[in-house]
Amino acid sequence: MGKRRYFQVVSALLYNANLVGFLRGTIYTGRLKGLCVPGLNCHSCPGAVAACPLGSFQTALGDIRNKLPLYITGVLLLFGILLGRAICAFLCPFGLVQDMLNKIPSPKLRKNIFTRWLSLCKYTVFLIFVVYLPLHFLWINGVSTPAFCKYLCPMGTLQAGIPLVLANASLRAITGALFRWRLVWLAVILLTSVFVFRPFCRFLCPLGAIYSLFNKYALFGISVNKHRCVRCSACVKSCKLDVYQINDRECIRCGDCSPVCAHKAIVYKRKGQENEK
Amino acid sequence: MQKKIISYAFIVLAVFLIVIGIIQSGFLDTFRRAVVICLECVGIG
Repeated sequence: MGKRRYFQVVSALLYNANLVGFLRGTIYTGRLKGLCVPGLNCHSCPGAVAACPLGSFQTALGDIRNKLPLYITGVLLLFGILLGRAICAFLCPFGLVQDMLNKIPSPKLRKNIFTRWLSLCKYTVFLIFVVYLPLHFLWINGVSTPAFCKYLCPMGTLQAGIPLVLANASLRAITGALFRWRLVWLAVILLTSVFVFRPFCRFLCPLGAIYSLFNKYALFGISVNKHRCVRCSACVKSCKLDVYQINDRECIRCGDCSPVCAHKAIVYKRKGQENEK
Repeated sequence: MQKKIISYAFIVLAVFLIVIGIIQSGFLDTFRRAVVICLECVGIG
């Protein structure tokens, strides 16, 4: 198991350490739930011991008439500036799920100009489903709705919806059209992940969209030694994501391009110690 | 150097927001919703 896979598995297990919840069909309600994990991990999952940053952000927006969402904004900012999208590569359980599915032998859709354009969709998803719709529902109905969690989050269905419905008869009894939509949507994302590398991360994930804004300034991750780099672009060509340059908005800083570089110009280290290209 | 200054400025801002947020209302931003099964997140609500 590679170092990155080890981080992915361990973080997924740590985020969901309340294993007994899967048997009981209940969720953990302890004080740790006041803290956020950096990756997409539904806090309604029976195993979850901490909160999802995206779910918490939408919840906090729903309470914006009483107080500003300072804590969760600060948390997102801190995660972003420390690690940027390295969180997507190392600390996101749904990234792990997609990575595993993409290992199934099948024809793969390679990145192209269309997928690069499609990668902008996640910013639209963030603005509409994470910011606009929760505020819209709050203004119209007086009660906010976490629209991204409700309609688009595949992790909520995979981690929380399916286990809870299987283990909890009272929840099973009240499933309806929304749950069926969620199952279909999850199936589409999972199936697409077999043929397309990380489709949810690249095209839809609002958390990735937030962290991508900090990629250039994040303190930890990969960096390029400009003295060694000969600008052959072997790193960019080898990358399965829609990257134009190391550490641009689409780079998840996984370091998979490092062995490809014949000049050993790509290294993991604290940023600022080497010049970027 | 300029990037480093921006990075550290963001860290200071983030810590400031977290501290003010906690002083304002503890961990309620996350805690209130995270300790009940969010039926909407699960896809039932």
